[in-house]
Amino acid sequence: MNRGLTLSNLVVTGPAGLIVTRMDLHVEPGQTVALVGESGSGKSMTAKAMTGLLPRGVSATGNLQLDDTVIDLSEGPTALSHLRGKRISLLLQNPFTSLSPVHRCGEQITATLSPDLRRSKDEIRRRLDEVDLPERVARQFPFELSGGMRQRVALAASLASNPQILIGDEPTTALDVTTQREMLNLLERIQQERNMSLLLITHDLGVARERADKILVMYAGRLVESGHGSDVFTHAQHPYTAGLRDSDPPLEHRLIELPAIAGSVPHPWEVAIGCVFAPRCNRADDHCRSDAPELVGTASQVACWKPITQIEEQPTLQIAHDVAPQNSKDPLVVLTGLSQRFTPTAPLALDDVSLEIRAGEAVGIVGESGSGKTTLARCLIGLQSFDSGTISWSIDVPMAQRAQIVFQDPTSALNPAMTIGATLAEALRAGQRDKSEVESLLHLVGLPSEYANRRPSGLSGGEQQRVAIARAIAPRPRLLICDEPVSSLDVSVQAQILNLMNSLLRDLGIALLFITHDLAVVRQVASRVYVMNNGKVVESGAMEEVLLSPQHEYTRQLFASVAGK
Amino acid sequence: MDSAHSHRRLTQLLSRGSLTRFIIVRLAATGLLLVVLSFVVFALLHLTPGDPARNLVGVRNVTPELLQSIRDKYHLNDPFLTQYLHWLGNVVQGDFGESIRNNTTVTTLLSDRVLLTLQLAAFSFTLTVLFAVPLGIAAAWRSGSVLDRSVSAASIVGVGAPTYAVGLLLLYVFGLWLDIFPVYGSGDGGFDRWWHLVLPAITLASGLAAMVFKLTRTAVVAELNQDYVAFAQSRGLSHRQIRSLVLRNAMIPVATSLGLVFAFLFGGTILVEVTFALQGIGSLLAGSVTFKDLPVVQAITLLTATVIALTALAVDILYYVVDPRVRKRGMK
Repeated sequence: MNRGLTLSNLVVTGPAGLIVTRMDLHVEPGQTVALVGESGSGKSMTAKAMTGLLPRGVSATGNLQLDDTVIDLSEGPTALSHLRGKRISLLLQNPFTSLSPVHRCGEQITATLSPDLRRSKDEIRRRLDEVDLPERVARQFPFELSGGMRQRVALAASLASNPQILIGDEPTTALDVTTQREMLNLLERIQQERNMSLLLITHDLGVARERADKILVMYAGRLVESGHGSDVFTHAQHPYTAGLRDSDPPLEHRLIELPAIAGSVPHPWEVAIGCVFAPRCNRADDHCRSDAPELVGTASQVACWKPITQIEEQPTLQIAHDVAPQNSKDPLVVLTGLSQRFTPTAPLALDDVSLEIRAGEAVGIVGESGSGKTTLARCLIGLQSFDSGTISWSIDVPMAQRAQIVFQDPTSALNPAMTIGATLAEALRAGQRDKSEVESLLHLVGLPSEYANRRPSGLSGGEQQRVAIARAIAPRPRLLICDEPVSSLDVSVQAQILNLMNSLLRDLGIALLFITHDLAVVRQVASRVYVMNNGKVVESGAMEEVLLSPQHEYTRQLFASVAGK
Repeated sequence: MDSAHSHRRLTQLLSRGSLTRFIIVRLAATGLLLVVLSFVVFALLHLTPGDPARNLVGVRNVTPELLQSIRDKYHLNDPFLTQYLHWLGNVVQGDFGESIRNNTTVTTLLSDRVLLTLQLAAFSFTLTVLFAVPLGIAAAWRSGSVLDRSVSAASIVGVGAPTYAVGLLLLYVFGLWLDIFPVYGSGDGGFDRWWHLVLPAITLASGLAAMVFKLTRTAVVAELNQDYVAFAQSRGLSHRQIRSLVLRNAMIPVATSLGLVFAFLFGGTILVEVTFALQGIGSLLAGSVTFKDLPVVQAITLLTATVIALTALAVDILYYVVDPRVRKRGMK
């Protein structure tokens, strides 16, 4: 009899201490449960513990019940080995690494089937058909497929032994927005056809809100709130859930300031006593700081001493008018007919792109992977040559003072061997400015002066990105280019960085070119937007106009793909 | 009709990404590389200080007649390029000229020695692969285990110990003290030849095996940490299936390192040949450099370069076979 899956009293311990503390979870057959949290919340470790895939040095205790089978997780990974694949299966985040690059897709999908079925052409066709893939994929290698198709191959592989429970660990995070939606629809269809339970692990509140029957919110290794569907967010009881909800940028309007949660997510083992969220909570009192609250409630549960009640008035968020494009100002840089092809056989990376940025203006470029948005940025800053077209600057200053760039991943963008102070001093030298300005630069991006002596490894992801921004503005460029600057950050930190960018724009009067795949994010920053697809600019105009009445089919498709907003 | 068919067949054979085309292009590149190398090797004669003719006379009495005959024979009065083409034409036919030291042709001098060095290289290469690769895989699979830690520690000794020291130690223990293996010479052919090569091969293999062990271990550990391994485990693939996934992927970096090892072996036998008094090309090269026996030095240099270039070609072809990504790209 199929009674779904119950996880009780899960504790995961790593070399540094607790990673997940007393976690309970139940998934009904055919139900979708979303496990939501930021990085370090313990959500992925929970999935790994449930499949016996914990890394070396990490152990779990607790019980996993699947129908009538009860497994004591403290017996180690072998206890789960006869369930893996057959009854519980795991779908990983990155379709580019989760398949072996030198084996054919068909072979990988059918690896767990019996030798007879493995050879059957009908079987492999049926499996591919279930995930909407053509038969030829069986003979192809993963590198010959797009990200979305690879993730379908991975899905077909994880379903091969017909599991009752599928755990998706951020299964759509690495995909483009439009592909993401197709993948989620496919998952939903298959789940219904098979009456399979789905445990969806995600940091994306929109995805959880739109797809889940039940949502569990984790913070620093603990379950802080759970409830039915989107209720968890609309009637958030835990201040963290409310904070997470509010710091997720809206698509419908631009906010003067995003309500960010101060600080960053602590490591679960650093929290000694009291409520895990207390240090970042504006409602916390002494009680919160000394005693840890238990999860209480029936239909919806919350672990908080001072939960937000329904009658309590929610703080109204200040809606700003979109900044009107500054048509009056002179253009700072004009790109005309830019084209670039990387190899003779490849499609054009940039196809006759024209674009202008005026002094002090914030311009957004929106597009998916392969749209050419990053190539454009690299051409503009001089990191990349182009076949034809012109870039003309209206100012006559050294390159360092024309434009600077901030990349997506601050960890790899900062030199790990240099202190923050040395990094900033070097950037100041490039703009012929004095290194005594290091301190004021740090203050400008909201970091204390002591950080000058630290190295990047001693900083959180959000703080590293602040340093990267400080480094970029150090030579006083007229244009700041940001290539997906918040994509690798947690939602609560993302809001802090977006607020910082807006305040820098106001205070320094520099122009900004903001490149992103995320429409809601660009809405919060840019006044004018260009939409790119396959190397072409397909639509451009004032932010509000493009959002309210998208003209191009691709733009409409992009909007339709945004989940839960 | 028939020619149209064969034309189509040819187009197909040479189409982008086909193995035939890949091999043809790589062979052409290897050939070009060897031509450039041969030019440099030929130039050695003229880069050596002094009169080339006098250098070629060696220790014989210098008489005007002798000098003249050498100038005629080596076309030394012709323009440089003509000389080179003459020389290259001979080399292609296997004629490297005459040795200055021994009054025989270089080709005769080399023929026995090349075989011995090839045998020595092949023997120690086989030993290296047979020991280091399986141990590397086993250590990676059980990283942190007693096996891993002890073999890893031993490999540090293996990399660090100088070849001649290991050779002398083996000679002393197995040759003199236990008296199992011969201490000197290269045997009388057949089994006796291989019996004589055991200690030299082990000496050479000890350092290389340590290196190959480390490379194999690192490659397999890197593959084991890949997502596709976790994904395979989560789907319930058997241990054997996962091992085959991992090994197929790890083979790519391991094959590269083995190619390098073989190329190094062929040029790196000097110390061992000298230690064990083997008449291979390594010891011949050492002697020829001392006596400025230029034709022999040229021949050995070119030969070693050819072996290295052919090994690189073999590794490229192996790459093409095991890695579908290379197959797709063809060559850059």
